[in-house]
Amino acid sequence: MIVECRNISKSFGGIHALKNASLTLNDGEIRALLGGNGSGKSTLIKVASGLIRADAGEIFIDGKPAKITSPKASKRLGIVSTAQELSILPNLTVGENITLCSIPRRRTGLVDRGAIRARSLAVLEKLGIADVIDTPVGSLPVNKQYLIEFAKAMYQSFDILLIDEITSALYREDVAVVRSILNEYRAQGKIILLISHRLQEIYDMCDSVTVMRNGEIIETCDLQTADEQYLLSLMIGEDYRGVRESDRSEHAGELSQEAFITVSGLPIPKYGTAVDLTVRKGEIIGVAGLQGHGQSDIVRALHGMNGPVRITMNGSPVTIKDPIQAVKHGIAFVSGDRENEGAFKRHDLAANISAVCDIVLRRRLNSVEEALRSVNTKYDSEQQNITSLSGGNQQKVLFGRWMQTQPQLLLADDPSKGIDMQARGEMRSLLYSMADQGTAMIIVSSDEEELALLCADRSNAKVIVMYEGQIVRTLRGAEVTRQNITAATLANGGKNG
Amino acid sequence: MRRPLSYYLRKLLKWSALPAFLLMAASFLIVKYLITGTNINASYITSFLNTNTAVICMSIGVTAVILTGGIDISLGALVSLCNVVAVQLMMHGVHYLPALIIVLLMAVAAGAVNGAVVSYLHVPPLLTTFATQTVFAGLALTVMRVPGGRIAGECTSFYYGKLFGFLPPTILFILVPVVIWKIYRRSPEGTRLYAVGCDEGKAFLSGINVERCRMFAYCFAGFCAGMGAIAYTFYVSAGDPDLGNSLDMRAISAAVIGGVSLSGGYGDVAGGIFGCLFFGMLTNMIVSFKVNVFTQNLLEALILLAGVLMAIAVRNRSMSLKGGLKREGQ
Repeated sequence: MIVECRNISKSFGGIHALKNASLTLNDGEIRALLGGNGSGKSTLIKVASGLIRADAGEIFIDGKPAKITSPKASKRLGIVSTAQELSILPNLTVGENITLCSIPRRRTGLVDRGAIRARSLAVLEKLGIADVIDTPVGSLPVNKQYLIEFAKAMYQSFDILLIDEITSALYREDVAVVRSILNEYRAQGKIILLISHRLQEIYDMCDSVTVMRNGEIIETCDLQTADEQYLLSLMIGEDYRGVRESDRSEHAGELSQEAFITVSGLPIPKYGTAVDLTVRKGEIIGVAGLQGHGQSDIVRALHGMNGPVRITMNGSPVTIKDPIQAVKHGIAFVSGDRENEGAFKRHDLAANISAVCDIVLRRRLNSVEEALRSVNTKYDSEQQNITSLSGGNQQKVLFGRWMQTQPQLLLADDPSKGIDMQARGEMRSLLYSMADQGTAMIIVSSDEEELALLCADRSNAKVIVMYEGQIVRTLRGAEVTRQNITAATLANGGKNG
Repeated sequence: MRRPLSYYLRKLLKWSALPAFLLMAASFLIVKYLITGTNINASYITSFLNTNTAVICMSIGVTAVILTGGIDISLGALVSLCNVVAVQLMMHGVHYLPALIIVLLMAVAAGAVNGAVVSYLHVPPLLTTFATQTVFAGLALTVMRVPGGRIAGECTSFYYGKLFGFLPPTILFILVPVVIWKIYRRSPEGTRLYAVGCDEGKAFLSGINVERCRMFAYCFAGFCAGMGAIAYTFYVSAGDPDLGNSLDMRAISAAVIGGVSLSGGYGDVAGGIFGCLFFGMLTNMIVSFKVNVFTQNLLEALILLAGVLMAIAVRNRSMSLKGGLKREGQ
């Protein structure tokens, strides 16, 4: 079987998401699709899965043109996809969710509940999570929800599997399970296309990689021969090493010695532990750890999202009861979950960037244009809807929103999630300039590479590593490398594999 | 498979219709033991059901629509329209059976119009059914200007007779929609309807025909209104172009009290039925207080508001619990 995408184009409101993208996939192949967020990989997958219609171009399966007009039509052609934003529904059971795309029925035509349970159990057992079958999906932890999304795809019979960013939410051991299942599919001669931001995983899982940039297919190469540097340079379109060097050469001045904010006994409810923290003015604290080990709790608690929290600010005690008070005390919070916690989806850029100033602080922005330009947003008009921007550009707007409040403490929960290299680089420069002006920041990230780039060799930066609700390691200066951070997240991790 | 008793107990506690069931039971007990002068016996229950069948049918139908994330406020006017059409047909010498079939078909067609406008033309449901409500009410007035007329004697004697010698026939008009719904709910389409109500986009992504689920819900609501209208027509034995007015809001509030989430995807028709029975008992209770009619309405509305608030509070509590767990797991 051969799948061919020929000259597929798609634009949203004047922005070309896909430009003449052509791609050929052969059976028994695991292909990675690599590129930044505005590069068009998600759009390509959405076209193939029938969620959106291409403006031009066609998809051929074994030389025959495939009419993909809806997700249903796509499934009929043997194309199954998993969605980055998850397609599982909290009001259905785990079994109903997994079997939703083709519900087993009895001869009478009614739903066969026994078969739903048996067949979804069979899939869950393969994934090693048979125990979740009776849990409401809404109360499952995020990584399990992603596994259910994958299970839903496994349940359907497919020839072509499109996976949009599933591994980034998974634990290492989950990724290993997914990898072995994908290998099985490869042996069965199925075609797999996988989107991931994690280069290491791509090397582990895939045979070949197609790199996209700005809606175009740049190159397809064999992973045996292409090294990381080469792929990065393809994605960024300029010499990657150069970018990194210039970042590193910017050294900041000395950090003041007096504490700006101290917290003691900040609770991490999941593990029943507590964390002490001291932040200085202009300090950048990166927080690393395996997913769900309490990193998010630190920034969320400090923003008053988990109930009242007592802190010492500039030497005087302050109680932050809720996010409103946090904002009034000059605390900002940027989430990586733009979908639910960042963008006001049906509103334009002007409303989005001025939201906190307008609504909470009751202060008008001097100039929306200036605010948008200060964070280097690429946009057509202030009146365009925020969702028409790429993820990276949306995140810049959200950073801009908080920068306008002139925060003293910036909290961020995985702000670079789903954002391309270029935007990440720009975001780092923004953070550095804010730190130079004295803003303290605590940045949680699930991407160790990102933390290393942000905090390495800077006298005003450090990385703290969390494990099971406790700070297990603090890395400074030259110690801050991706390898060191990764090692530290696993340091106590004998139990965790 | 045999499961322990605690499994069923937990399932019962999580049942969305439980608060409405308790309210209904409480209202029955209050009327039975605390209010003197009423005697809950077979004839009391029969007449109680007779007065409430129409609104029960409507709440079954409107629950299906609400489950898809929509709303239908045209059902009251549709009941009036069905009532006057049935009476006029019989007055003009049409045999009662074809007359009733025509009425039912008309009701389903009316629902199909709502469904088509909502699902294919993407007009918001509230707006769509507000417009068709006006249309149905206008048509009803065109068909019959003032209350009057009468229905075939067979219908009246059937309605006031006994089914199998002991059941009030009005039960039949509730049972038919319930059975249709139960079968639909157990078919794959039933699961899909809940999926659509929870998140239309995700349902579409899963290859579900969103339009078809919506169409069914509105057609079914039309059918239920038709059944309710026939029962009501038999009960009052005459035509009235204002007959069903304000019943739709009662049906919707009953569904909400019954634990159906107005944002769609959560709830069950049983809740709406219990909600309607609770309302009916409430009305009887207040009537027995022998206060003037304005005070009666005020009291009823206040208790209704309290009931709706309680239902929403119960649901929010269970939902926020879920949300809390979710965040913790991240």
